[in-house]
Amino acid sequence: MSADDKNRSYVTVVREELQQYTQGLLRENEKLRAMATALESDKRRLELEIIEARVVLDQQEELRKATENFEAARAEMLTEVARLVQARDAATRELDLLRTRIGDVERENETYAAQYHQIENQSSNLSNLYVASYQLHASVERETVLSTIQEIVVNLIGSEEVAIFEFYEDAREFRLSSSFGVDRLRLKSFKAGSGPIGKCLNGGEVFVNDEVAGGDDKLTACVPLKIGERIIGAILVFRLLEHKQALQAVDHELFELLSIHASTALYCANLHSQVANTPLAVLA
Amino acid sequence: MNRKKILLVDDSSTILMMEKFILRNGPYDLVTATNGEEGVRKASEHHPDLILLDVIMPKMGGFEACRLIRSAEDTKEIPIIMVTTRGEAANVEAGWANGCTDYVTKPINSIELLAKVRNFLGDAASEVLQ
Repeated sequence: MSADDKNRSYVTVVREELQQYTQGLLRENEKLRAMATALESDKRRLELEIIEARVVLDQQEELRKATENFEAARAEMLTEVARLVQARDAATRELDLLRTRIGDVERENETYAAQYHQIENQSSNLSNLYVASYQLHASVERETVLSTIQEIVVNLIGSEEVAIFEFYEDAREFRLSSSFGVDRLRLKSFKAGSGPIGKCLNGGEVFVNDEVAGGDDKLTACVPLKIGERIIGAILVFRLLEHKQALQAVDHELFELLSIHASTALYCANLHSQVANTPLAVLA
Repeated sequence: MNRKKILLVDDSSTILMMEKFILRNGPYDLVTATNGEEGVRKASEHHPDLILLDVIMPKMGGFEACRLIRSAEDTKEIPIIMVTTRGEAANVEAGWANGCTDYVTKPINSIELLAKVRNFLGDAASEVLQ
């Protein structure tokens, strides 16, 4: 082998080695590029992770602040709740006191209402008695007095069956002077001391049948008309009005009042009548 | 104070006195009549705020008076309380038929009468207290 061949062979070898080296370098370069790309990718990923981490940190900071705020608000709320609980307890105590007071006031109110009702009743009863007494002595005319007695029985006691008798000493009998709603013939007269009514008048006390109810066809009251101990007449009260269920305390008072005041009124009216009919010369 | 006028119509002086007695402390001006005819005339003259009207009266009874008061233009709106001795349904029905607004029975219960009067005239009595 010639020197040229040797040189060519050497060159060829070198060239081949150089090519191989170059290719090796190129492959290495490719690897490095790939590594650079991977590193670049890692870098971007890391940058993203950093950004995410910052976001997380920011969020954690916000969360911390929010937690602090929440804790502060919670503490404030607990204070408020405690205050409200105290206020509620105070209000409950106040409510209990008020309920007790309301109960007291209601009881007082009931007492006052009962007293008011009682006073109204008393006032009403006194009105009845005053009106009866006033009316009985408002006139000395016999007919007016008899009519007033009837009115009192009808309008203040509540009966539409009444008979007024006067006692005639000489005949010892009671004779009907005035009546309303009764059979005049049946009740024309009755003897003193005889029959249930005559006997009833013997004692000179007012007889009242408290068992009688409105509409019952029974004697309700027998009222002797007395001047002192002397009986000058009687008022008989029969059927009470349908809607009057029972006699009241004031009715008893009215019967007692009639016993005295109707007698004096009737007695005075009779005297007045006698005087009015007597000539002045006789009186003188 | 807003005083109200009440016309009391009854032939019984006892009832008139009783009604006056019951109403005397209220803020009421009272006018009286002793029969239905006078009642109708005074209702027209005085234009009361309320009329208490008896049923049985001379000259003109309560039902007829009630009907006449209801038929007159100037008195037709006045509330009328009939005052009757009979509380039976038939009598009350007659009262309604003739235009009465309400009724009370004799013997008059002062508490009932005052309650009914106050019901129709408003609680004028409480104005006195105020």
